[in-house]
Amino acid sequence: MVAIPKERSWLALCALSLAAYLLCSDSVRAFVAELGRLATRL
Amino acid sequence: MNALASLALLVTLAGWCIGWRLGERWCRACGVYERFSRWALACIVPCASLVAAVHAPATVALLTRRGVVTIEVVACVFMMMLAIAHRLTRSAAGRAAASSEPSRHPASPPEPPVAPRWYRTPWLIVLGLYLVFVVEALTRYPTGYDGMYYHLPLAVRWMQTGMLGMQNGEIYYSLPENGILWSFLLVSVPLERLLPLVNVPNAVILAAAVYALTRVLGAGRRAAGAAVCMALSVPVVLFQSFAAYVDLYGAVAWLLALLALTWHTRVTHVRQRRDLLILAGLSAGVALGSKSTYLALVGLLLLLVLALDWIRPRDRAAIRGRPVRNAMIFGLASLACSGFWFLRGTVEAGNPIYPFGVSVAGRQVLPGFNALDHCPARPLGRKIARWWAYPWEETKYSGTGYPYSVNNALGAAYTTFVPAAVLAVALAFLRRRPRDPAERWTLVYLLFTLAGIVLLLTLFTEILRYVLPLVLLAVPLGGMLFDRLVQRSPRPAWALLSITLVITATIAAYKPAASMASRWRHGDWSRDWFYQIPPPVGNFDPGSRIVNLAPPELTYPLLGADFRNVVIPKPVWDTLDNGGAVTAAALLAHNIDYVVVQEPFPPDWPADLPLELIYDDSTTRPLPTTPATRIYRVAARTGEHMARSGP
Repeated sequence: MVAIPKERSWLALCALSLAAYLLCSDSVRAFVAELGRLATRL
Repeated sequence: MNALASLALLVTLAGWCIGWRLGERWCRACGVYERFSRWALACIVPCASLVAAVHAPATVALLTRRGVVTIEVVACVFMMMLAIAHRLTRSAAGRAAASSEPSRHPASPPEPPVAPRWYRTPWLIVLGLYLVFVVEALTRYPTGYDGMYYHLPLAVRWMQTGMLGMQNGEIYYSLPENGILWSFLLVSVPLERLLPLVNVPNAVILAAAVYALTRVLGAGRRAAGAAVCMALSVPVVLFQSFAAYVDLYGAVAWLLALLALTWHTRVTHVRQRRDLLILAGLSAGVALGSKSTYLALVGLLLLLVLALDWIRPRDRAAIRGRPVRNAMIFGLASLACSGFWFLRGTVEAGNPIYPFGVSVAGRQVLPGFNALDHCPARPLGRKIARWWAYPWEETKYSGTGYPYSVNNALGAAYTTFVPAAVLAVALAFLRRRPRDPAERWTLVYLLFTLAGIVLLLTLFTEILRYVLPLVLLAVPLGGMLFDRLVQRSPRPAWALLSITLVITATIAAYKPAASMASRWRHGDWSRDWFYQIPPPVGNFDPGSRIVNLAPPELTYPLLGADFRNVVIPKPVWDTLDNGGAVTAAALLAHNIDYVVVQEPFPPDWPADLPLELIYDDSTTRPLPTTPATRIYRVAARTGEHMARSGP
């Protein structure tokens, strides 16, 4: 298997990638907007 | 329901299971001892046999102009194909019994002990997500723009005419369509309620293929399972599993072909390698016949076939001439499951790859369309700016509405692990060259992933689902990185995966849950309500011929619940001899009974049209946000319904 050193650094990079996803994704934004609309209706 | 057709469907289903068993035996004889690889590769035999069982009578129909393609004929030919496969696999199994030697996965370090709940949780999340989609799919009718416009109407047209004809001049009615064979069988019964689930088996086969492809790279079992969760959580995969699209079907066939090639480099016996090459070719042919984009994607596999001896070097003297021979075996096998479409294009349009034309130095050599003509021309820099952060932004460039869909988004799990894995692998190969077959396969996956990015931005006109197999091929790289992460930090790694899956599952499940809640609120589960079909359509005489000048996605609903109407969508109407004009002569010449139009209504028609307005919901439609619909009856043809063929 290809050698990938410094596993902890890659784990941190993955966590950063997830954080970027949560901040930038149109899908997350649309979902939150839908939840907001739903809450307003209720 | 048609009793004979139902019996034929049952025979076909039973035949598929028998074919899978034959495939499993063949794979065992080929030295494929890893269980999931064998399960996945075994699917090639029934899939390819069924494709050939449709193509054989379709070729007769093409050459004789007689409608002979029916579900009963397909079931009979399928059983004959399986009988041939039985003979071939039995002799292969006999030959291999003495000569085979087990091919083991490359050694991976043992996974550190961790409580089962850590690695079971991701599976439970994914299974729960699919369960929500299954329940929702069982309460509705088929969906998906392409499916409503041409995939399902074509399946119905094959059933009505007994031929796999094409519509010269209309791009979408002239594409290869291996992906709708099961839809064709289901509409022949008819079993419309199962159509939304027709792609679910492809998701199951995808899971086995991704698992096996991840193990090829040396990842452990649990990491391979994690890769499966990443792949199944990709929204394009998830939504296509329950929609009338064919991209998932083609992607799975392409990945199975690649999997067979990975095993080709792991077995030692010449016959085993040849048989695996045949399996790879058959599966590549299934993919090639499912969409024109696979002309490029199967081309990549062909390049790989030429390079197989680089991945696992053997005796130099024995190699001479072998790459070309391998490419010929692979190519011929792939034509067995795709050749019909090339023949049809040649016979009906003078171009084997119709509907796509070929031009050399500005001169058209083969007639057809230029795919790039239909897309906005953007400079490459602009395209790169739109796509470089796509996994994180998930901007919907094609279509509108909720971002998670059949054509958009990669999901949180994919975005968290796969781009990092691609970067890690690329950096690893910058430090040193690949040394063993597992490392060379890792390089192949990486190069194919990069080729996917190039194709997306160039030939495939920025349509994400066209590069779905290459998008999914990056997942095993994510699985490999995950394997490294769980070696050092098992709990954080599994927790991170579970968190990403919960995020994607929550966002993805919202759409079907909201859709089901809406139907529950209205309390109407009927087809007419689901598609908002005007009530008169239900009273049309069977066999009515309808011109659909409304948006093309209304074509499928207008076929009726028993698929007995003949519907001509506007793009097809435009290719007929009337040139798209609605005239009295054209309506009579094509035996039209009804004309359906939707807002914005067409400009004024000629005054002499023999049309009678029978429906107009401008002021009465139940959902005011939907466009108003009008239906006209061709007055001169009232009561004249005869047995008629398709347009």
